Amino acid sequence: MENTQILSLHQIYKNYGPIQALKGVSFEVPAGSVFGILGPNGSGKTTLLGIIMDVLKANSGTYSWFGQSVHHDQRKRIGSLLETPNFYHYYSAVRNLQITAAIKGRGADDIERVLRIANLWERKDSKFSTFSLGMKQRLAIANALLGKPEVLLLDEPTNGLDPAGIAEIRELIRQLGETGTTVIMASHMLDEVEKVCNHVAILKKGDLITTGHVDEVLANEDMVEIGATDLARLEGVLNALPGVKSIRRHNGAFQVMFTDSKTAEQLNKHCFEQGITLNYLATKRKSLEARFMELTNN
Amino acid sequence: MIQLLNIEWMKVKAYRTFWILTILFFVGVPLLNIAIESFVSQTKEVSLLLGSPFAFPRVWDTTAWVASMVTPVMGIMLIIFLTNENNFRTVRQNIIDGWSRDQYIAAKFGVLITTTLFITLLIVVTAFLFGLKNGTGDASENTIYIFYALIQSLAYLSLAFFLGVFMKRAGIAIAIYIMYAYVGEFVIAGLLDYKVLRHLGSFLPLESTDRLIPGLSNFARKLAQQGHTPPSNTQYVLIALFYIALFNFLSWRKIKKADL
Repeated sequence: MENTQILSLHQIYKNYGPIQALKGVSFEVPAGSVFGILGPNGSGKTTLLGIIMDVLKANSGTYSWFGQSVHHDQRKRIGSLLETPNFYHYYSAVRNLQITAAIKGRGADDIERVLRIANLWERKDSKFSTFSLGMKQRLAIANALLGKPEVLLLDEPTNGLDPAGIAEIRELIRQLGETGTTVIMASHMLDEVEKVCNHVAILKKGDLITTGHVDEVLANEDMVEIGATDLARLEGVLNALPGVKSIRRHNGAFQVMFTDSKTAEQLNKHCFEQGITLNYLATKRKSLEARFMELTNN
Repeated sequence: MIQLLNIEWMKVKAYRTFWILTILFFVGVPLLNIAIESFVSQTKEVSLLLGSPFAFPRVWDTTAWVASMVTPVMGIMLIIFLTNENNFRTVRQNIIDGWSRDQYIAAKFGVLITTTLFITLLIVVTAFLFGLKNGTGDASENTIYIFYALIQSLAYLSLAFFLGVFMKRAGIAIAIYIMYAYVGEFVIAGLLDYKVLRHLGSFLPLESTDRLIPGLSNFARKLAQQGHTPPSNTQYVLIALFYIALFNFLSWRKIKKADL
């Protein structure tokens, strides 16, 4: 399961007139992953999703779903929310979902379940045009979940939701990821991606900056905070240690970055052998936010 | 195709605008027929001039001509239906949910053809009932006008279809459509005919079908045409078919290639 690719992109280019929205983006989404596409506004996330759903035409490049060449029936296995909730304004929630079910050829018996998940069951017969922004977004999520698709593709899924709604959607995505649904999610909300995704691709102005497992993307960025009563001696010992990338004094301790990954245990042992007793030791993963800023700012 | 049409039906079956426009057309054609018939039969001078246009076999021509004045109502319906899909971005959603672009276009052409058949059927039934009511002429004569009515409806609706696909705003598309159908083409045809070359106006998309079905304007047309042989009905049909193909080809290409 882990080896198969749900989605492969190969050298996707897209221009809007003179603006290059995507400049040769390639990456793969493994089956069963919760995959975050991360990037600031205007980085090409929505354009990318539009292309793989055939509502936008790439200038060049290819993609494939489920390891097969592209066919429209594949989209019936994908539940999507792209950019804005798109529904017939003059129809109720239920009628709109009935149309989706008819196009997908599945999910007609699933309407009550998805409306209940989205907390819209009480409003099932209200017209879409009477919905608030958050309710429209919830209906779009219900629409994506209809018929239990193998893949969920969500573009800014928590747009317009209140904090409770955001937490619910995160929990939902996490649950779906655990039960084997592949989730592809675009977002500029870093903590959102960090909390739910296990794979990530980072886009900046149409370029793919990095992609991989969240742990890999962040792997070499672990940082150890270390403190002792005699800071001067500690600094000497740390400097003598092979593989140290940088040492920075911070709030009465040192923040140490290593070129190879050292465990806290190794470090503790080493210092103790050198006659230093530590009074503070903590491993910190550099937050995705720090990494993201670092990647997109240079 | 049946499945595609069924989904299109789901999109309109509880849509009030759709029903209002369809019912307007449905009652508009017979009512306008009754009004014009009353005017002709109760005004002696007109009656002498025009004879009995609501009896067989002339009723086919007359009813098709009367209906063509109401057909733009169905054109407006089509424009609203198509611009809705753009404005609500449901065209995107239909594709995202698993239709191919070709299926989307096929579904819309299905609506175009179904509407054309509906208009033609209403003309046939209305003409038949008026013919029965007005004497004993031969009903099988002149039935070619049923075919002409079909071509005319298709031409009027294809123009609406084209506008509905290419224009983002329903209001502007409808204004252009109505202005063109009722005034614009009449003006252009008049200028072409009398300022440039006689019968050049026949080469316009709606005018070609209007001249195919002269109805009660026949005697005026005859007067105007003295000394200048007009194109044949076959030529009118070919001109109309050319425009129908052109409008639909451009619409198809737009939906097929564009970013939605």
